Amino acid sequence: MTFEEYVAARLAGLLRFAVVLTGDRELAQDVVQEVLARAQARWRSIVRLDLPDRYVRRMIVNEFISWRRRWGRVVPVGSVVDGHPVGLAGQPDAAAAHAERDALMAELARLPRRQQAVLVLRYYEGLSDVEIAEVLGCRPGTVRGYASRALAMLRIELTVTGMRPAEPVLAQPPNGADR
Amino acid sequence: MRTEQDVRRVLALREDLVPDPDAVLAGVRRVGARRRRQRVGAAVTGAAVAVALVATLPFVLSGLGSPRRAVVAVPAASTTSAPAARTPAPTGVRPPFAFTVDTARVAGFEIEPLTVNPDVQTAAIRPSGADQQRATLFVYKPGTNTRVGGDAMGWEVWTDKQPTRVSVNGATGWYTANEEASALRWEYARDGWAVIGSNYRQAPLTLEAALALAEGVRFVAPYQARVPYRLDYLPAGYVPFHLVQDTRSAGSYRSVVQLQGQGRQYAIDISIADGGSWPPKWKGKPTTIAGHSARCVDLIDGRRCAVDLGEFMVDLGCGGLTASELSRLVAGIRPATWSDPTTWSAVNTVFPGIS
Repeated sequence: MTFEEYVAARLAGLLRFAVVLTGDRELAQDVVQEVLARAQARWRSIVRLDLPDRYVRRMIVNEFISWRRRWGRVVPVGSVVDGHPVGLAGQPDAAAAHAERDALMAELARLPRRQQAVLVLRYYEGLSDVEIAEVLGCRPGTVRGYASRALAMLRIELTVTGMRPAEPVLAQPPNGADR
Repeated sequence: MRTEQDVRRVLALREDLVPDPDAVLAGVRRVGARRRRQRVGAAVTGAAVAVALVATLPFVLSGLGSPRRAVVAVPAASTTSAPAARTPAPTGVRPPFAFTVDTARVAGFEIEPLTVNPDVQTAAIRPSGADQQRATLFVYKPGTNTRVGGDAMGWEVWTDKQPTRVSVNGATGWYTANEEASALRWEYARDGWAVIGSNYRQAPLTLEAALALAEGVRFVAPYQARVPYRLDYLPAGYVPFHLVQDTRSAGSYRSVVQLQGQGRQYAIDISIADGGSWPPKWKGKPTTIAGHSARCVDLIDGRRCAVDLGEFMVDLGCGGLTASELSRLVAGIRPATWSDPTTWSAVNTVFPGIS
């Protein structure tokens, strides 16, 4: 497969992945453009890999994580979501649901990039923690740490079976607390 | 309460922003061609340098042909200049949870310190008398802008958006804006950058307004952030890594301290809202903790509990605590007078292990 054939077949998918990863059209475009320009220069070695597409996606993730912060993309290091926004009370109407969705999108964009990447790889790409660890070049335990911190910041309730649940942190209910 | 399904939906919505493939393809070709030209150019330049070296080598080796000259290091060109002069930033190391920015009223706005951690302090910028935040001031620790990558990613000045060069009290600054956002950044101290960025969904600040705000930032000697309580008990090993001190935002958490423990899997946080916030908006099972009404919910990082302390509502992310530790922590909270921030305690007197 030549580089041109690969791009013709995969570019749309790569762009979708990049825009979900970055949440930003311009940044997605820049990241994919940069990655493909570099991939083109050493395509002969990339195409020899078993899964060249996976390798290119890994390049996209790493490029996003290390992408220099642009003007206006200024986020305090280790920031907390001010005010701890939580779900709207009661049954939300359409406007409230819309506002809540926007709030979640904004809070997601404010997470550290590694945490965003973990969420995208887990919830959009459907990768396991082991696979995510391979992409990010870290241990599965580190991936779980990123995920748990990201989900905690977003105030996500644990609902899905099959995900690694939180450790049982309370040995017994505090003063009669029901669990 | 949000669920993982909400995360999936929101991520899928990002697909709507997908860029035009043709533009990306054209960009790839353009970048590829430019890099090929650069490689060729570098090779030619390298060859020329080699030729010049060979030509001058005999003189260098023999010391002949010209009088001995002193070697003078030529300083590299720099875009930096002297730090802002009107309110110079304090020299020395800022303690990790101390502010060096003071409250100020500037050009119809109020600047009020809001969050602090070892790397950055932020301040809310609101129109005078208003509660809603219009912009945010970030003051990064000197050197932070040079760190890129990982969770501790800093912030790097990036000038490919053709910013407008400005002077902030004599220091170099850069202003950029489009229809959605604006940012003014300047070197408030040697290798230390500050940024005033318009907030999400707020109109960008004009150059004049941003500049007036930047020049009006008041740097003072470090002073500790405060929390509206004292603690009789803190589980061993926990130290703060981020703090929010919000004296203004109605109905939100006024004080948040996030702590991480050595050997603990999860961080915890102690978040304080006024008593009117009880019960919390999120759904939780009613329970009792240390004799106080509480509501708890299980999250991905363990249990979160809101506790009614009368004048206060304490919202605890307690994923890393045992039941006994949680109960002791709640029992040991000694609230200050909510309405009088002068009764609040300096954070370094409440949490051991920080300076």
